[in-house]
Amino acid sequence: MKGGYFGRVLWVDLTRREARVEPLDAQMAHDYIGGRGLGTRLLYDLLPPATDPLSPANPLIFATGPLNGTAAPLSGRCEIVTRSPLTGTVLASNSGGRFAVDLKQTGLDALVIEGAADAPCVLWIDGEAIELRDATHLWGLDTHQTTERLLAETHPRAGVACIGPAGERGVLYASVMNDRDRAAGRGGAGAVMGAKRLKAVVVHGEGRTPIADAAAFDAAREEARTAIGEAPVTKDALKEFGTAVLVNLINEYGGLPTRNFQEGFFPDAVSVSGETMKETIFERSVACAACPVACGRATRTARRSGEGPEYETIWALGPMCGVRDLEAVAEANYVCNEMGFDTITAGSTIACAMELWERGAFDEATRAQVRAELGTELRFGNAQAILRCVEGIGRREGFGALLAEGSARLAARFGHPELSMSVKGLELPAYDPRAFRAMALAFATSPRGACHLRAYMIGPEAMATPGSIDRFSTAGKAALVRLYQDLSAAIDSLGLCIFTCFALNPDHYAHLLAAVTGEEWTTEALLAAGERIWNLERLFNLREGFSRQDDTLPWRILHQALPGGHSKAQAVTELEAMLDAYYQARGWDAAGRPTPSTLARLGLA
Amino acid sequence: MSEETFRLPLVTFPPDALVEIVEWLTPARLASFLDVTDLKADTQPPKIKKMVDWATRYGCASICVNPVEVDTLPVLLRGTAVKECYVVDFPLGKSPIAMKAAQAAQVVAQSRAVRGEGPGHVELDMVINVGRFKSDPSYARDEIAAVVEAADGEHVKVIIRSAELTDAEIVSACRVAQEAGAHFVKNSTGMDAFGALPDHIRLMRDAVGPAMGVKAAGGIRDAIDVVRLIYAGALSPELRTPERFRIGTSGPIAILSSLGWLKQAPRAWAEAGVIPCTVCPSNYTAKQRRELRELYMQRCRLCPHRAYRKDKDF
Repeated sequence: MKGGYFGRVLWVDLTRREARVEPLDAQMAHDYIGGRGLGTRLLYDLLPPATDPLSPANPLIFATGPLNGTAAPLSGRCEIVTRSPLTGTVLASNSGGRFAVDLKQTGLDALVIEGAADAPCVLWIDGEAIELRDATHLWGLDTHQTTERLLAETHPRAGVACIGPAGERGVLYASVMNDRDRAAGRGGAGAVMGAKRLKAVVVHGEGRTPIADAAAFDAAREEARTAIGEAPVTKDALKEFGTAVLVNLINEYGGLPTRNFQEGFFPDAVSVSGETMKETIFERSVACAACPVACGRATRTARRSGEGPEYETIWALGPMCGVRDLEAVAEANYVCNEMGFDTITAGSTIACAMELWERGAFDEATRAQVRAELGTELRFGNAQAILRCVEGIGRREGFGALLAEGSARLAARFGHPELSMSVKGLELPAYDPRAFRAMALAFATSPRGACHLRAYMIGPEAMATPGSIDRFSTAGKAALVRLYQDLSAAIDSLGLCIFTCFALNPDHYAHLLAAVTGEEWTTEALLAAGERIWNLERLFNLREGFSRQDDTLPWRILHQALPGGHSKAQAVTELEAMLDAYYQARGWDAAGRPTPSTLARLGLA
Repeated sequence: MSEETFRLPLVTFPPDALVEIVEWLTPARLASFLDVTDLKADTQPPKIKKMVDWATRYGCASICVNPVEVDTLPVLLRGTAVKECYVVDFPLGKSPIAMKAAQAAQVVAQSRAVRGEGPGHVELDMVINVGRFKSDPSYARDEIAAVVEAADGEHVKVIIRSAELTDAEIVSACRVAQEAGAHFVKNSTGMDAFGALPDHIRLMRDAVGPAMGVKAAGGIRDAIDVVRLIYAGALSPELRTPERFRIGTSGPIAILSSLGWLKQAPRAWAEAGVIPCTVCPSNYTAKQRRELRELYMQRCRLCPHRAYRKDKDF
């Protein structure tokens, strides 16, 4: 391996308290690139079918990409791969900050954690030295406290990825937090880590990612930096307002899900917009490793300070719950980060509970419990209720324990499964699919459940990147979704941020990968690798019993038209036809299974 | 406007034609159409240098700037194939004819003196006096002819500010420019009610025929925009040369980068289409005079795509 990889994978068995370094399979690295792809391949090979995600047999895999630790722009993403306890699907969840670089600098390409410890522990990797330390004194601490303590106990410049109380107590959408406020948020990797009684992974090293062709890499990096520096989204919008710039934009399209997707237009959106944030709680921009964009926001309310909220969080804890109080949203976000759980699922689950409350679906005992614990009614627009709910979720106590299961389980428990706005059990993010047809198809077919990052079709459907298309049409969308899904799989495997696709095109990524590895990488080969990863994720889900019936959208999206806003009267009535076209574009049969020829073409037969 | 006289603007595009254009385009061909432009009041030397770097690296047609840059731009472009392009009487076009001609003559003379490479490296984008043109097209013919003469053989592009003209006036302005000896017609300053929309570019191409250049400018941000404009203004392959078709843009890098996306799935991008109103002149009425606004609104009411406008839901 000439560049991009150290060729080393660390295997840690927590049950046996053993660790070993093994060579990275060069062919596997080539076929799956790294990050999400490499992690998924390892998971697929390791995990017996139908394994309980919270059992010791479910591995937790940290995987870097070949561009982590290089000067490639926005190359600070680390992937965590496991089977999701929330959805039962394959789960790849990534985060920014510096942890990916810190992990790479230990000289490791990936870290595979198996088994479960019999007592709380911390994995401390300092270059070649690997140590499992007792973490009894850390158990129960929040993610900020844990990080501070571990930095004091290990190395002040170490990278810390840890769980908070939510992960320890099995909140099904607990996140793994690194650099204090960066979340591998979706799907519950933090709960898997908690089940292993692994409080944190701490890494430090001095290794430098090898670059095979330095001159070619400099040229590719400069090409990418120029594009990022000149694209309107990355040079202006994200830099100035962070991701919250989307609040007003998506609301104007009538696609900002409001009050549990009952509407697509939030009249008070400006109160929680990026523009308002900049004038009120914004303190400074925060950047991940090697990122010139700096879309992160450090903020301060009248009572507290912290990081966030970004767009999805603003929406989930704001308009989705009918809340227009930006300070309350920010403070709820701080709690989510400190306790360590996903803001999207949390907000969507609270919104689901609010609708259940307003529809009278809770039994009297539950209503009394909620009143007693929250000290208020669980109605849309109640910011105080949001704050009480996130505190309860983090502790997984009382009504919070019900919310900690996610909206699908909550809605089913109270007899209204249709009120869970989720796909495959994962809650939809902040784009109403009724306003964006390609996004609808992307949500329905995402392997980890509804996810905007598996194919960010909002780019062409709302942000005119790389160009404007008709957001209500279904024509051409199957092939476009496939293109975005394959490229996103590759981006996640390279170790890059998905926001690069606001500026770069598929050729840029191939140039960077070819230069760092010294191998020949055409754009077609890169997309084929992405397609291989996507199909492997599909095979994983099929093995676990998922099928075409799971490639769907919430009842409300399919059957209830939006009542107002600039997507008024829209519902996704064409999903089945879109799925047919999509499966055909993918080389899958009508049931959504990759055909033998597709598998053979991708080397997956 | 009766239904008989209603004209559906060019707002839908046959996928096959767009696919053909995408497949024909390469980064080099695309760059060859681009006039890399910055006409802001606060433009400073580092930006000019950056534009020169882009234009020379990718092989763009020209750098289009305000006339004041004629003291430095020729030096930066000396030895390259990239042309200098200066706007004349920009953006309103309200100076007397003699002043326009004098500005043109001075810019050409100074550029040649500084660059030292003889004629053929300068282009002038002049703005017509739209107000005078509306009442007396011969006035526009005179001012264009004066600038063409002052340009001493350098190419002149005539900005007609199509957003302020009726269909008939667009056609008339184009023909006047052609009669006066200009080399290109150009739709917009980039500061008008709207920028380059395929419908007006098609009108302009149809008016001047294949022997003259058409330049689209204003709000062109990506390769999909360019492909639609090529369909409108350079559908015939022989028109796809920098002598017959240009794109004015302040964002060449984003345009070139986005071509890479189109290349991966040209048919899907073409079939996905665009919401018709977003590329229709009738959608941009806020800054227009009442007469034009009413004309456009009337057209809207007769349009088969009017459902999009019902709640302005796009």
